[in-house]
Amino acid sequence: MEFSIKKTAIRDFAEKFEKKPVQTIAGILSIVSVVTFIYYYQNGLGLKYNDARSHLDIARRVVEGLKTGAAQLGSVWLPLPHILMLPTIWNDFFWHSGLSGAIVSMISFVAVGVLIYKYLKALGVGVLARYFGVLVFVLNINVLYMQSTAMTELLLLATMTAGSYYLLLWSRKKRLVDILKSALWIMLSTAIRYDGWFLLGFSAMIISYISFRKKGFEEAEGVTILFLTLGSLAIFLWVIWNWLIFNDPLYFILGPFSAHAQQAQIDAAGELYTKGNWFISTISYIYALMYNSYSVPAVFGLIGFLGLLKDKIFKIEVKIASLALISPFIFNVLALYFGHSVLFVQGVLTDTWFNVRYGIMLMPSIAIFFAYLVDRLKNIKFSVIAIYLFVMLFAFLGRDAVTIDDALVGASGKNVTEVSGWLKENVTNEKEYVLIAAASHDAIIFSSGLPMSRFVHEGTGPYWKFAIENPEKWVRWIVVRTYDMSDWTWREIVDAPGLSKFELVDHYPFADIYQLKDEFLDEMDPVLPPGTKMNE
Amino acid sequence: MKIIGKIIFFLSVFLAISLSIKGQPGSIDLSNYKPNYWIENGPFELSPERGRFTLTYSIIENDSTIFDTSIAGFAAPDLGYKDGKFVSLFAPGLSYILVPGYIFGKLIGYNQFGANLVVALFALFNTCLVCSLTRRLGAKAMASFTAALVFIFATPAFSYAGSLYQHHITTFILLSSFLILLKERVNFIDLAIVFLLISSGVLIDYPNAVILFPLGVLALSKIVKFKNKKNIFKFKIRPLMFISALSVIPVIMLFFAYNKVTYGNYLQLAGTVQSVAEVKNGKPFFEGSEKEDSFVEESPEEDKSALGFFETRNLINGLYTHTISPDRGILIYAPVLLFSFIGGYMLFNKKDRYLWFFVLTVGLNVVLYSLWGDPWGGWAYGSRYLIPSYSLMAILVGISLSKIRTNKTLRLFFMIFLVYSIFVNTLGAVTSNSNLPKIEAEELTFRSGKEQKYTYFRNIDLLNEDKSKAFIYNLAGPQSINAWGYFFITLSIPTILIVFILGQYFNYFNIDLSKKVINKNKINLKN
Repeated sequence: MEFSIKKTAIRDFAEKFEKKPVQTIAGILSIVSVVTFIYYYQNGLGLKYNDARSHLDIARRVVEGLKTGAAQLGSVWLPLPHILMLPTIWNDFFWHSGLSGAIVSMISFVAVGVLIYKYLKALGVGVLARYFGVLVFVLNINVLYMQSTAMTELLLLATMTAGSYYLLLWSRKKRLVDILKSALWIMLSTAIRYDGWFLLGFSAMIISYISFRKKGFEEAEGVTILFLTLGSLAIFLWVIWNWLIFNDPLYFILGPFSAHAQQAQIDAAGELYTKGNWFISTISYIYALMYNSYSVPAVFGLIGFLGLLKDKIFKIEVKIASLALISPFIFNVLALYFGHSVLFVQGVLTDTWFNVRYGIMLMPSIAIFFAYLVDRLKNIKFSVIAIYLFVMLFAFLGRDAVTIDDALVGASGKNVTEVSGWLKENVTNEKEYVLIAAASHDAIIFSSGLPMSRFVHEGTGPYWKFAIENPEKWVRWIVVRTYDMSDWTWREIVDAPGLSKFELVDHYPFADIYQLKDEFLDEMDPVLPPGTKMNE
Repeated sequence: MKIIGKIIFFLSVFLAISLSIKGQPGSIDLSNYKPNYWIENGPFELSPERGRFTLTYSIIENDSTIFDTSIAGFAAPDLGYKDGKFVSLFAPGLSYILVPGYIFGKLIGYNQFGANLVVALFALFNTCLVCSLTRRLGAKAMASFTAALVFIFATPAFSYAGSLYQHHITTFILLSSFLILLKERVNFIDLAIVFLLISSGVLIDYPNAVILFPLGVLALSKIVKFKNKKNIFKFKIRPLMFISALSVIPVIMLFFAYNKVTYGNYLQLAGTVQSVAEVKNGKPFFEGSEKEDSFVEESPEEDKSALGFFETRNLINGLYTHTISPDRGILIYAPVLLFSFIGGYMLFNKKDRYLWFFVLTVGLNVVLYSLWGDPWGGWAYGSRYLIPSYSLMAILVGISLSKIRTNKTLRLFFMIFLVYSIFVNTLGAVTSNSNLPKIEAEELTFRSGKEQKYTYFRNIDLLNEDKSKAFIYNLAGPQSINAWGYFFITLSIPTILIVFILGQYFNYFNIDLSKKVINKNKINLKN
């Protein structure tokens, strides 16, 4: 029995995929994205990260609460993810389902898929390997989970990959417009996470080197300034913002809510294992990376990366530009070494998880390098693809996702249902407020399901100021970690005479709840005096 | 002359393998045996060997696949318990294959040695197959002999050539089927044999369903021929050949029958039944779930699924263990196999039609046992699970030799790595396979306060203590020869073979050089 297939038919079929790849990938990935979001929404995992709930609350406070406005964006996190939530966060469903943040992640997820395809195309990789690269990224439960949450990872991946993609295009064709596009995307990434800041510096070095190598100092100087002018705009605005709002341009670095301050606490507890230790820093990140990628793609990705660097097809400029894809690795190891970041990986000096999701930052790079390898492997490419699919089969059978474990049993998640459940049940009177520190208990605020306007927190200006002086006059309940001076509410009210008028009504692992005794209820009158300036 | 050379070569190989067969003089009676003689100082030091032997013993002596309470304890802790009966935790194939050897051994008064001899014969067949396959893939005769030597003496395949493990049988199925499928045009019988072998492989060890999967694909490619012509891709199907796959039916029926008789369920896999930690007074004791090292009478509720043993979370540790770890890694136990990458690269550049098979089989083998929760293979010598891959990698080493022989540096490193690998694996072959994983060694060191070694240095210590588990050593008795002497006698065989073969192949004896000198002289004369 014989049959044959015309090569032209296959070519036509491939061309169909090649004709509208962006639409094809975007269409398929959108479906995957929505289905995955619904899955994680229905099983309740989508909001397990503390940080996801905090991100949603930050955006919500801008539009709803006792004191609204742009200043609510604060300085704990860089502002872009919260700004992108603003069009939808006003809606209670979008807020409490997490969709307001997830929708940003979902769009980013689709964008990264498209960018991986385009990056591989720019490298001259064949159609099959291009789609394979997208598959490697998409067929990762950690990625699928993170794209269903209100976390910032996917948005960061999208902007950084876009920046790296245009950098690659510039290295090939030297068009200034590509430099500007690269700078634009990297500028956006600098408004998401500090990984973007490193990429900005790293890319500037790449651009300088390539330009200097090709056309000398003057050209390098000009191109680099052009790149940095746009690329560093968000950083400049962020510094100005901190100056204007908090009277300190470096408040985000040295302020009480900065990563630096948080790491200092962990360091004081002797748990910042990576600080000052290159080996532990590198191993911790490699483990996080391997767990997030299911190891085998990471190994093949590394081989692909080394192969790309040795490939004679590419000019040296292209190879150097592709180094931008590994900047998250360098950044994370450096951040761990210098103690600016904390990462707990089970099996590396600790038996818990914390921030293990940082390993996901290399996923687009792994997908690109792995796909490149597959393309170059000619007649053994299907063996490698089969091995990869075999691994992924077990990943899906075992529903293996460290990012979910981190949220469920690691330090990145916190079960606050008891406290929030109590508030939901008891805080019924619309004119009674809860005094709580948002910096410590945003997850409780979110999970209570109560409107933001029921909470007096450190961002509510005069309400906060008056409430910490005379809590009995302003709030009915206080949610606080008793005796914990890192809890802002406790720190401020510990000496307040009115505190004795409250009684402890419940005690939970993450917080205690105090209620104003019934006999003092008449004293409570939470109305701002006329003429009070909200912005004081 | 060539045939005599081959006979001498393979006889020498078998002699060395025979010297490594683990055993004690005498026949073991499982209902009444001396643990010190047969277990601690004998060939049944590890539970996988005991588990498989117990089934063979039960089949022959008790005519049953269900263990009598008097013999069940011998298999613990790799002992199953189902519906009030003691059963094997292993796929039954190997135990059945051992039967002829057991009967032969029993006749001569060494039932256990007889059983081990079967595995040794398969190891010899594998050596022949590696040699043959290397030659078929284009290597010179000397290179193919070297590949055979690399496989059997320079990898942990040597340590497992004389003990009751499934790996050499799996390797035999892999290599023999590959050899059949290397034919340009395979016929119906060839394919029927291949499918029969592949399905039998699953009865030897269930994970073989994955390791032998590429063979299935290769067999299928012989039924559906694919040609890349100028404007078309042409597919030619031989529909009748599909019928050859029916040869798996008898094996499947045997599989179902065994499961039904033993576990009471046609589809129950051996490894998925409840495991027993210990048998006391004929009663099973299970590992306590609360406290370590405590055994309880009540069977803990456990849902064991065959796929549940494999988890992607294990991959980091698994890949590390199989490649570079000091307790099992290829880099430590068989670094000569690194040269297989050169062979692979050469085949890649030649666009060899079968390279994909090497990559897929080795890749699936490594990944499968990296997903496995115990990548160390319990107490073992080197990475025993990778023995099938070692055979394919040895073939690639053989192919790489044509490149290695032309480069002085590569030649030097190859010789160093080869001698080192043979030395290391002979240590395991003549002493013991029971090296504990690093993680356990550290725990034991901590508990006992005495350093526990976990690499082949543990085996050197055994030689220093004049201990060897080799049957012939134990038969001869320590008064005849000491353990180090026995080790060097065993080591001398592969060494002599290597010196002889590579001496010729690498021109160390100037045999080929003389031809070149003559040729050069001829050229000079012409000029």
